[in-house]
Amino acid sequence: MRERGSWRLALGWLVALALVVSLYLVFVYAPTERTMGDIQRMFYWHVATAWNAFLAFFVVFVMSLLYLFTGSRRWDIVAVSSAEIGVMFTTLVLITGPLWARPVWGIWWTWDARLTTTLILWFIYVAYLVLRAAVEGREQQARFAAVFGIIGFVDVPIVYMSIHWWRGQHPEAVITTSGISLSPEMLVALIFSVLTFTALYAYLLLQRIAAERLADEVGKLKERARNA
Amino acid sequence: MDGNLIYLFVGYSLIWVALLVYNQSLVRRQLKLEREVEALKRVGRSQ
Repeated sequence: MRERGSWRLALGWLVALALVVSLYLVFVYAPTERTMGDIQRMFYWHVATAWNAFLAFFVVFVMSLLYLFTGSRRWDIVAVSSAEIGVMFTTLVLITGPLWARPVWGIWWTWDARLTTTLILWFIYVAYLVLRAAVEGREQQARFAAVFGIIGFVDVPIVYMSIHWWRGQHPEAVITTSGISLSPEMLVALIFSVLTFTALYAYLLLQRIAAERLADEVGKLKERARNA
Repeated sequence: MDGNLIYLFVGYSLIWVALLVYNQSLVRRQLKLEREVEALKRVGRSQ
């Protein structure tokens, strides 16, 4: 366990260093955008957190399916850990979005399709965590969460496609099959930020899984003590 | 740099604070559980 812990610690420091490098790329290396000015720099970590929220909920979806097929607690542990991190990233998206919108659009919030579906996504996974905690019995809890995790994921592609399906204020995607509407320096800053946040997600997931496993061990030891 | 820097500063600061607080909470949760595991194992051995 110690050895695994030291690997996690090393990954944590590596991620912290990468976050600092990412800040350099965002604030120094990437040029100032012509229309929006410096506030456009919000884009890099806003997109990085959004991408990782999607990734986290995709992991919940896959782990929930695996749990329903196998019944193994290990998939449930990864699912609940990933859901918690996904909620944190979505919260950050919902905070940085309005902070970017206020100076650019003149408003904090609008019921645009992308914003609304993202808020719904946040509510779905907060409900996942709250309701999960309310269900009694580990197996029922895991089964309920797995079904909820699979159904809840339906909103992720809707959030992604919302800017194509409905007209709104949220900007279009900058990287599409028809081209990239970013300067090469901006693209480097964006890719580096997304990769750094993906590594951050992996690190937080490992930390959260370790905590959940320890909680399981405590539960087993208490059970054993009661039966002794 | 323009006048909208305060929004940028608040946005990036909030992300840093959220990540640090969440990471700290995970580390503390682990330490607390590790101590609990050790204590329960000690009790188990003494019985």
